[in-house]
Amino acid sequence: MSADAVKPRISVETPSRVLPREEPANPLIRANIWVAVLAFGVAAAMAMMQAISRANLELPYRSASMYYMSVTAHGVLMALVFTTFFIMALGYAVAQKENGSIPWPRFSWAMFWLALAGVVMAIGTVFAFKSSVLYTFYPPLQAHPLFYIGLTLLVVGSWGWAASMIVAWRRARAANPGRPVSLAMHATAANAMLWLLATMGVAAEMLFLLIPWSLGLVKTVDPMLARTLFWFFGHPLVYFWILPAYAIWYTVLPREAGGKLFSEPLGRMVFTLFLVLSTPVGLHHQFQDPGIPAGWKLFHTFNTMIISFPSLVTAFTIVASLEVAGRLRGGTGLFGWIRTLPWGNPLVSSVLLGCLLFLVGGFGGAINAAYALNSVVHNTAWIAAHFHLTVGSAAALTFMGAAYWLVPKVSGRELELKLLAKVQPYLWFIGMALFSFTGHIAGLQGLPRRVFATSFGDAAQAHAWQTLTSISALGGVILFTSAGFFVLVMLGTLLAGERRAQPPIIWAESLGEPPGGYRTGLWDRLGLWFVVAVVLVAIAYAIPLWDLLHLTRYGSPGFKPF
Amino acid sequence: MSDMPAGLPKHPIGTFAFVGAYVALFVLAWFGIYIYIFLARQPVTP
Repeated sequence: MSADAVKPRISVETPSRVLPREEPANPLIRANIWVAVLAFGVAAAMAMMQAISRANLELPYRSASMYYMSVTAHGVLMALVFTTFFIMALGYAVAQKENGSIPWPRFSWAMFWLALAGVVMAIGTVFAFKSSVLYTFYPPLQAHPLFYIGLTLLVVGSWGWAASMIVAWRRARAANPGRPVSLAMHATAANAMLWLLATMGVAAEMLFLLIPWSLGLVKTVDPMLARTLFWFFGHPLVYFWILPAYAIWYTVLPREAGGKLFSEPLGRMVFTLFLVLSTPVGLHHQFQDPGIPAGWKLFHTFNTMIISFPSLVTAFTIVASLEVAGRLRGGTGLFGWIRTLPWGNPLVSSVLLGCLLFLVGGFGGAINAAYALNSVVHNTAWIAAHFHLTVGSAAALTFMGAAYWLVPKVSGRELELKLLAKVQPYLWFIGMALFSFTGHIAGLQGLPRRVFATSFGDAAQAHAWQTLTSISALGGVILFTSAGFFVLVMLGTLLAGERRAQPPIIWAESLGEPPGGYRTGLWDRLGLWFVVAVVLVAIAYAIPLWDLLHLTRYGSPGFKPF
Repeated sequence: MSDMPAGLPKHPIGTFAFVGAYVALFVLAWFGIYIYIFLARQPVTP
């Protein structure tokens, strides 16, 4: 064999630039993103089918059974799988940026596989029509045992991630005594602590109520207790989605928009306040439930109103950061800076459009959280429309924009199909506006949520809803198109993107940073604030849970109507 | 409050206007639903 024959073959497609060594956690980050993207794609297809069904348009295989299976799959895959895996990917990227590596990489991989196995287990039973219990899995609707066990494994896997994030945060603090960690690391650690606290509720529900009941070890379950434990977890789950989105808004958006973060200390306060206040608010989801004294519902209402404060601070800080960016780009006048923002940058447009929708979602949340007004919108289409503006827009649209920014960095590949990436956020905005705004109006007119057909035997009121549900269905089709674009861009980038050196992650600079940088302050003491959060949760839940456990309890057998 | 970069207005006046307008709309819409939908529906029992 000649010497030439053993020379390595160099592809003509090999980039001329030398690729940097891959960061150690990038494969794990990509694995999490893969799961998130695939879950998102499947869930989006389910959603379009539901929107068309609710407009009373005939579809092949349309039935109540198919509808409730698809609602369950959509809810679980979007709200629990897409979000959780993307948040874990983002967290690992933040930790790696902070310390150069992530703690316990083998353990983190094991937790990833555990969570993925749980997802396969749970969603497999859904697609087998054995677990049409919707994503809230309220008993006495009963799912297959593997549904509950699978979701529990997903939560346990995410606990591994949370532990890893807290260790990364501690290492970063230890490496720079007296100096705060980056705002992104601070936000990630606060979110991990929030998650550990919040998931205690759902863990208790799964282990003590639903799994034994679904296995037949006990014959009945207490729906009230189960609902209370679910909402112990269910509302902070919203903040588990929103905090990483806020982290992107604070630490990535200002730089991508061409400016600086208006105030970093405000950001630290915001994330710490969310850690403290996110959990003792769940009873505002149970205003119409019996068995919980009105006083405790009022206490949770107060907490809910207080938690709007960090969101309002965020609104101010982010808009001010954008104003700085817009003015530095030549914008003048009271609102001229809005026009000069880089609306063609997919990350920026995703966040801006998500924020616009979130402004409406925030207003809707204030209606939901008011005891009297909640009775107007309870169990109507308003509720589904509302949370599609929070998790479906502020969080999901930010995650999609963040994926356009993050995936090239962790894959070493150029973003593919850039035109689709530019168009996609606008399609999502239009589709979501059509879907959600009509849902809000129809909800105020009394259209129930979670019904697969809205004709109600040709009732007169149902005719009034028809136009709204048809527009909503059109929104669903546009949303599906947008989701398809996102999945195509992700697959194109991950599988076929040109390999090129990518710019590293650089967080946004803050205005007003003192010479020599910030010093550690009270808001950075997350361990202390975690203890405060635990105490507040104990105050908010100890007596209501004690009451539920000691009042006369009425168990229910399981029902599987679909 | 952070100082704005040199050459820009001293305060983020556009932000004040934007957030102010949002809060005003928020309050109006909330009371609109309370008065024109919730109260207008009357009690379900006399």
